This record gives sequence, structure tokens and C-alpha cells, in this order.
Amino acid sequence: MAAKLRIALIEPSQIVRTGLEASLSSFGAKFQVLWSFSSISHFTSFSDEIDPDIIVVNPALFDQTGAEKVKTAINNPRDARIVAFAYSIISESLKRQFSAVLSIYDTPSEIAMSIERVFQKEIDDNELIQSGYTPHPVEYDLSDREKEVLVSVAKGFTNKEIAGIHNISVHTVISHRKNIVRKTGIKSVSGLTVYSLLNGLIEQ
Amino acid sequence: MREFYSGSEKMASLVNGSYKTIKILSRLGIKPGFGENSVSEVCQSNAVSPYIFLSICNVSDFHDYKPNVEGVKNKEVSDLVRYLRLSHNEFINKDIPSVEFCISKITSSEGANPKHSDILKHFFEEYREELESHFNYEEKTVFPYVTGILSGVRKEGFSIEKFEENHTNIEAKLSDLKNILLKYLPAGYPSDVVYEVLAKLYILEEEFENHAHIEDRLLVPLVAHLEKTGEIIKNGR
Ligand SMILES: [Fe+2]
Ligand SMILES: [Fe+2]
Repeated sequence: MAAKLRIALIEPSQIVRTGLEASLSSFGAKFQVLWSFSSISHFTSFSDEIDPDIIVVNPALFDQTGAEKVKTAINNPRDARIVAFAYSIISESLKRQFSAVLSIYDTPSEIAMSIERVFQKEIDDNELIQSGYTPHPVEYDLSDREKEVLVSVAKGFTNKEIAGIHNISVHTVISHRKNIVRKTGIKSVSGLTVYSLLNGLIEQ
Repeated sequence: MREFYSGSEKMASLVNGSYKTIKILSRLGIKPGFGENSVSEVCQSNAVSPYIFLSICNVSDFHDYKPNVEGVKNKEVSDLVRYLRLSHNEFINKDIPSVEFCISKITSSEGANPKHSDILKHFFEEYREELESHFNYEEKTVFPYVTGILSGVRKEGFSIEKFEENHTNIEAKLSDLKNILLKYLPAGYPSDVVYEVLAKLYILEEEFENHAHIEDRLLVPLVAHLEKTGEIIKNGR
């Protein structure tokens, strides 16, 4: 059973936003439009608190020359797929930066199919088909590696130090930390220390 | 989606549509018994500026609301500072103690593991200290700076932008505590108290978030506007 894909919308027009929300929600079993924003800065102010699988955004909000990358303009800590919803033609260099480009003239079911395809591709890429891939797994247990990183975090080591201790890159440390926060719902170091103590991962 | 709140709508229907405004009314000292009176009428008869009441409600309920800073009056900003002070007072003297009471009921309960209890108490203590120093900074540095500006004196070496830049998050740890109790508290603790404190934590987290929004999205732009336009006497010390 696949989980619903969680969608965040960034679209300045209220009427278009409402229309998209309604159309996507009509595919009730597949999508959940959980967050709507009128601007990128509005989205950015919430981006640490939300965890969409997909961000649907109006490409007119970005630099059309493609010089400023979408990925830097949009704060996307959990690496959601970014899909454009365009009113008009957009430049090739901008187009390439999205996982898919939807058009205002697409029908709701075309839009739904395009979004699903983005995830289908993802599944193929990761060869996760056989394991019944869900974007938000029900299993929230920490992996052994994550537990090791967590212990080092609780002991107060910096990312760089942790990378050295476990012989992994800083980038990998950061991605483990993101997963730990996502799975436990605990953000602060002292909160994570409490978690580690309660679970016997470290001693007082 | 609805429009922002306006002074001409009935106070009773505003509250009916968003019951959390009750806290705002109570902090501003607005008395109940609204009858059919409008928001502006009720505010005026309680000597509270309608502008500030509405701005607080709008910032709390609409994430895309931006206050109109043009022509803001001193009385309005001082009402806002009073509101923030009263909120701090309520958090520190009412809400946090009531959470603390629950925590101590949990940690001293029969099935409690003393080691775990110490960990929880320590976490909560640390959080309370952080919270106190956050509010203290605002009470001792930020608010006096603002009231200074209102009386035409601007303290040098500080600006509201500085406050905005260093303004820290106060709800993250509260949310951590919530998740620790909800997901990872070992069996054996009294579940009624755990649920009771969880309900409090959810509400308080939202209150803290709103409070920070009022500071960041209302106080900061208003004071920044006064800094630019007000007639201010510079004061070296
Ligand atoms: Fe405050
Ligand atoms: Fe604050």
C-alpha cells in the first residue's frame, strides 16, 4: 500500500492555487495537498517545518535565464521533487531544472499522471520496486549507522568530527542527521541526547 | 480562504471563527459582552487600539498578512509591547509551571525509573532557563529600546534589525519534548498525566510560534518604520 504523495504548492494566484488544490485532491487516494504558499519567501519561512514529497511551483517565480538555479532559490532540505506549473512557455535552461513541467492547459488527470511518473522514475532509479517503496515509510526505526551518528551527536561532536570518527563524508553525516530528525521528530541536540539516554544508546 | 479581519466585522463573529483570539482579548484586557458591536467599537470602548488588536489577530491567523506600517501611532506600538509583556508573563508564570507540574507528576509516579526521570527533569529545566533568558533579553533590552523610541530617545548601538537577526526559536525544544513523551517514554508512566501534558504542549507550541510571528512580523516592521520616520533624539548612553 503506497502512502499518499504529500504536495506543497507555491503559486501567487489564489484562484489558480485553489484550482490546483481541488484538482489534485480529487485524486484523493494518491495526493494530499498539505501546504500552499503565495511566494517563494513565504514557502522558505516554512520549509524547515514541512516535508513534502513534491513541490509544485510556478516557474515565473524564478530567474528565466536559469542563471540562478532553482535548487538554490528554493530551500528544500528534504530533497523533494520540484515540478513546474507553467502558464506560458518557459526557457529550456529553466525547464531542465525541474523534474517535470506541467501546463495550465493540462487536464487534472494529465497533471496527476505527470506527477506520478516523476515518482515512477524515481522508483526505477532506486530499484525499490520489489520492496514496495513508499515515500514516507511506516518503519521509523533508526538504522545502525544512524544510531552511531546519533550517539556522536549526543556526545556533542561537530559534523566534521563525526565524519572523521566514522570515516564518512560530512555530506553523509548531514544526510544521516536529517533522517534522524525526520524519524524521531526531535530537532535539538539536547532532545536527541534525551532520546539516546532513554533508549540506552548512551549512559549518563 | 477568507479575507483578513477588519474593524467593521462583529467581534462575536470574529471570535466564533477563530476561538484562539480569546487569549488575545484576555491579554489586552478587553471585556466580554460584545453584543452586536464591531471589532473597532469593542476595542475603542476598552481603550485598546483596534489597529493593534486586528494586526495581532491577522498575523496569528494569516501567514501572508503584512501590517500597514504607514502612520502608526505611539499608543499602538505601546499597546503591542504591553501585549508581548503580558504574554511573556503568562508563559513563564502560568503555562510553564503547569507543564512543570505535570512533568513532576510523571517523574515522581510509582512506575517511574529514577534515571529516566532525572533525564526528563534536566531537559525541562534546561529549556526553562533558555526560555527565561530569551524573554529576559526582550524585556531588558528590546522593549526598553522600543519604548525609548516612542519617547523620542534612541539608544545607540542597537537597532530592531539586530533583534530580528538574533531572534531565536523558542518552540523547537518544546516540540522535542512533545515527541519524546509521545513516542519514546517507556511504559509504566501514568498515561492520563502524559496525555494531559501533551495537550498542553501542543497548545503552547502553537502559542510560542504565534508569539514569535507577532514579534518578527509586527513589532519589527513597526519599529523599523519608526526608526526611519520618527523624530528621534540620539542618546549616546
Ligand atoms: Fe517574546
Ligand atoms: Fe521572542
